[in-house]
Amino acid sequence: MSLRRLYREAPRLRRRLPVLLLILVASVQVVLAFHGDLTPWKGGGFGMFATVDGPLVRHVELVVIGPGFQRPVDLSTVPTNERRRAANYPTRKHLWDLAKRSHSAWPEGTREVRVSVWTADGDPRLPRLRRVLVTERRFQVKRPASEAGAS
Amino acid sequence: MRGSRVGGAGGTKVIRSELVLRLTLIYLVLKPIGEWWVQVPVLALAAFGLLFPGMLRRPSVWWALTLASTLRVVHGFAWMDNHAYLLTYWLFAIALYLATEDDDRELATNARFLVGASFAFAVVWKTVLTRDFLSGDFFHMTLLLDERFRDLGLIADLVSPAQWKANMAAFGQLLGGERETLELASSPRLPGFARIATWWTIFLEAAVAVTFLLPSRWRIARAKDPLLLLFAWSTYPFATVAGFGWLLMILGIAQCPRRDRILLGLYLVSFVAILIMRDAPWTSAIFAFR
Repeated sequence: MSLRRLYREAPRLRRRLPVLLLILVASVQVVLAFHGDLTPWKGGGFGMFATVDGPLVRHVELVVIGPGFQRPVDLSTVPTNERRRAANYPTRKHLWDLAKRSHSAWPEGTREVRVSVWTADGDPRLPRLRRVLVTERRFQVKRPASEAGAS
Repeated sequence: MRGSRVGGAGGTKVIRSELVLRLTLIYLVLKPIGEWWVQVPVLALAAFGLLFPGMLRRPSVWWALTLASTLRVVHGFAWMDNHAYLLTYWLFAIALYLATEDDDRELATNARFLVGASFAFAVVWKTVLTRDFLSGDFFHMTLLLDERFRDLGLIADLVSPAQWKANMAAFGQLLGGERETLELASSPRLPGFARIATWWTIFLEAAVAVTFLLPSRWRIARAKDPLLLLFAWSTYPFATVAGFGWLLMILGIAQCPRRDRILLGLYLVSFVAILIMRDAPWTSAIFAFR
């Protein structure tokens, strides 16, 4: 049965499409939160206000490394959405996109870029918070910073 | 006349859809969504829909709004709030309803299931998928660090202004990597308050989920509207998440039995109250008065 026919001949299914879509997206979000480091607050799974690990505490750090130097890069000039994307859903691509956005701040001779995403977590001895690493990626820079490319 | 069709599930009558469509457009005007390339067409469509009666029920207007809202959540998948998704499903439900000439019952049923399913996922996250919530850690930390709950913490004497300031400064150091752990300062009342807030939230959200998902002919389902209103009135005066609040009130109205004018009135009052509470700094005023 084609999708078009299914749609025409299954009015109940058609009428429930919005709710089915909600369930599908929310289920995918749960998987991504557990296997892709997506914060439970985002992605349409209704996990907001369920955990400390949200946008309030997620934080990205970027360090550039070259011969004889290793220094952090100020990310405040990177567009907010790029920072939020990298912090809330730190896939390799999102972290590299963030790094590329900051390449004008890389010193000459940069050979490696390290991007790490941190969150805060409570421990049983409340009210204490500690910094916890969500993920860290290292990108080798093969070309000059202006043509940033990673391996 | 579709707009005043009666005879919903369980023999209940449902309200006119025009009101719901108008409120949805008012929501889009009051809370412009997305970046400029979404905002401009959405504002224009919403304004046209409100100003020209012929546009209000035109499916193409609602398909365009659905498309714009979908592009917004796809583009902002990693940072978009959950009510942006809920809005998209709702716009989709309206577009389907108008395009397929279903009666009001279908729109009402979709509204009911959307509320029920979103609350069900919220409860699953809080009870099964994370350990922060039931342990009380979430409220404990949120009341001390989330700016949106600052006034509540101050009014309820959970934290003093000096403690708040010190916590925020130390929190900044934690995020900046200048320290690895952070001891948060608070009043002794905080743990008890956090426990009550935790169980109140779980009870209400679970009750809303169950009553909205059960068949509306069941007796227990009659409690769904008072429960949703109770949730709104115990949440939105403090948590300034107006977008979600308005949307829930619209969905509440969409599935509210027509014969129940009191409930309809309460939903409308709540819709307006959330707007006022968003813009009027009433919690700060209470704290200053004290």
